[in-house]
Order: sequence, then structure tokens, then C-alpha cells
Amino acid sequence: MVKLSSSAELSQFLTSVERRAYKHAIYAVRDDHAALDIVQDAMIKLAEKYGDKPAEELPMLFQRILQNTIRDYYRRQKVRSAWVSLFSGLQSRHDDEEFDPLDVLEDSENQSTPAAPEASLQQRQIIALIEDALGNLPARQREAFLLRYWEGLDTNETAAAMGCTEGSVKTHCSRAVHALSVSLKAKGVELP
Amino acid sequence: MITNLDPEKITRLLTLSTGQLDQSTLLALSSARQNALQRQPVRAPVFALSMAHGIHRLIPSPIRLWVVAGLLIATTVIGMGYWNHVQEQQIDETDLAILTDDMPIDVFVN
Repeated sequence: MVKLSSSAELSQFLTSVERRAYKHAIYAVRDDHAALDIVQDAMIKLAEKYGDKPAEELPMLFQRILQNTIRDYYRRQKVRSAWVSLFSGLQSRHDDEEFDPLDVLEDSENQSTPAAPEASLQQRQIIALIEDALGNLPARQREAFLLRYWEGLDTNETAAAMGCTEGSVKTHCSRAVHALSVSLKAKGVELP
Repeated sequence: MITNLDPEKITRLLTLSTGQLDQSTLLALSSARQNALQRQPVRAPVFALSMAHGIHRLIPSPIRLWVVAGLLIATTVIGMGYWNHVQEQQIDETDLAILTDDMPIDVFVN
């Protein structure tokens, strides 16, 4: 008999996945507030529509919802950009500025927290460079890489979450790993 | 030729990065989680059949609601029918008593 997830199980699952989900959204949209909105929307959709599904089905369902919510965000942004450019033609160039994770790194270092040890600082810088490289990957490659390797979904589950074939998942993953290798090597990053 | 890196090394660092989220983000995520949990539908049974737990779980909640409503309506209709029948019987007995001039004394007292 299939066991349905209880409120406690759903809570436990959301707690375990919320930080990674936020990071997924950040890499995709590069906007803190939008990322939080996306994660909240995905959590609510999961709870409302699939809250009574068996606990083992929750990870795949949540990832699918999360990726769809990110795509919905892209679509809304595209429509908004079209309307803004149609009516104003004076859109601020700030939106087009390149995101530099080192800026974020400097900001966080300027806080009142005590200076981090050199190793920790180096680790933070490597993470920032990796996140930058991930953010520069094509959306589908990044999605496949994160779902397959970070979320630990198998090829079949990743394909279901992405709405594509298993062959596509393997191709996306392979290209993502290669692109990350090239990008990190170009920046002189040696992974510990 | 670029050698492929180990994805696990990257994901390990990414996992470390989730521990570096600031407090306001963690609070926002916690709040989002609580909001979501409040929206989880509650599937409480409308009533429990003491002899057939297996059956009542198999019937979806809306159908059980209809069954309960149907039972209530049927009980009401049968009750009203019985009450009417009793009333008619009493009236018939009174009419018969009037016709046979055999009315009980309490009819005249009140």
C-alpha cells in the first residue's frame, strides 16, 4: 500500500530542499527577491496540489514545479521587457549589466563579521567563481547538471523533471561538465 | 584537451555555499515553507464506519458527503411519513368515536 506524505514529512522535505532550491533559482534569475518568490511559489504549488503524494515522489515533483516556475518567470520577464521597450525605449541599462559574484563577495566581506581565515576566503572565492560559471551556462545545461549531480536525481527522473528525453539529459550534462571545466580552468581555479 | 572535472567536487562546494546564506534569506525561506504547509489540503474522513474502515478510506470525501446527506434526507422523510401516519390514525379513531357517540370524557373536559 502506498504511504501518503504527512504534514511533518512535507515539512521535513521542504526544509531539506529549500536552500538548494533558492540557489537553483538564484543561478537562473540572478535576483534575490525573484528567487525567493520562485521558491515560495514552488513550495505552495507542491503543498496545494501534491501535498498528499507519497514522500518518495516529492523530490521529483518539486524539481519539476521549480523548473516550471523559473520558466514562467522567464516568460513574464520577456513579455514585460517587450512592453517596456515598446512604450519607453528608454529602459535603464542596469538590467543588462553583467553580474559579478566578486561584487557580492566584497559586500559580504565588508559586513561586521570577523575576518575569515585565508582558507575560508579562498573557498568563498572559488564558490563564487563556480557560481558565476554555472550562471553563465545555458539554462538547460545548468538545469540538467544541478538536477543530476546536486539533487542526485537519476537520468530518468531528471528527464521527467525537465520534460525531455534521457538522451538529452546525458548530452546536457556532458556539455555542462565540459563547459565548467573550460570556464574554471580559464580562471585558474583548482578544485580542492 | 581539457580534462573533465569531477561534478561531485563542484556540488560539494555548492552545498557548502548553502550554509553561507544570510539570516534574512533563511527567515524568508522558513516563512515561505510555513506558508506552503498551511496550504496543504487536509484529508480528514467525514465519518468512520466502525465495521468497514477499509471501505470508507476507498471512497473519496465528496462521495461520503453525498452519502451522509442522503441518509439524513431519507431519515427525515421517513420520520415525517411515520408522524403523518400516526396523526391520521389518531384522527380516524376520533372520527370513529364521534360517529359511534363513544367519545371519552376528557374530550369534553378540555
